[in-house]
Amino acid sequence: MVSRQRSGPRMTIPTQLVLRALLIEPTREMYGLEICAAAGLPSGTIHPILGRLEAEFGWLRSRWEDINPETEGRPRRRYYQLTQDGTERARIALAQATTSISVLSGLHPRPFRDPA
Amino acid sequence: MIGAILVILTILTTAITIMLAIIQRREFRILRAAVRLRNEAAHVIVTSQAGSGHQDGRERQAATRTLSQTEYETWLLKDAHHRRQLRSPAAGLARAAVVLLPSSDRDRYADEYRSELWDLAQSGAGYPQQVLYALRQLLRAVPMRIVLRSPRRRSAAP
Repeated sequence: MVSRQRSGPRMTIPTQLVLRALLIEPTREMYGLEICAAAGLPSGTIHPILGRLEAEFGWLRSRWEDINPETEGRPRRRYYQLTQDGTERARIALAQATTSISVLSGLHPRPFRDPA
Repeated sequence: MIGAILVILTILTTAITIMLAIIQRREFRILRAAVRLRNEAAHVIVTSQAGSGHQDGRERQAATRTLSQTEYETWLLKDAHHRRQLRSPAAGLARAAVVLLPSSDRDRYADEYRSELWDLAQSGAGYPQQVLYALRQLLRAVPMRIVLRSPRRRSAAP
């Protein structure tokens, strides 16, 4: 049996939505809930996707927000951003994805009200 | 087959929730004892500072007493916030989701889920939405664990 190594993630509909959300402004860092809202996915559904894109494929990088939680009075956020290579690969993968656009257009991204 | 898996998952989730409730209750008792000790300490501070202020007269005494009272109230607010966090069923479920992740990643995701729960609460999401968020994390904990333990995993930032 020959194991098949993939160069990119399986392009499920949620994966495509997350990548599309991140590609709107590839240089901008976004936190989890913001990505959920931009992708039109329910909160709490994207961490396995983000984890796969970051840890397995290296398309994403993440970092902790540089704040003092004591001073700000809120916990620090984890920010995600596409790497340069990841941006290119994501664009190619999305272009090659076979999912019908009509399926994706049925989902409605919504703005997330930033509490900060 | 899927039905059996769902039943097992439900039983597991219930067991974890009960276990966490027991842990939370114990944490509560410890916290309550800490608050009582703090209250007593605050009382001691107020009394001793007021007593030592005789050189500068009543104004100094009053200022010291006010400052101590403010500190004391800050403590109470912090304690109340801490207790709310402990009581929150969503926080308990999120903690259960974190327990299922590889130990090296638990701290990161515990902080991340806590931060997102905080953001959700601040954006006006009620308890049911917060619980739903945590339930989703719990249901995705196993796929998440598989991703994080993948042999293809590259070195990611902690």
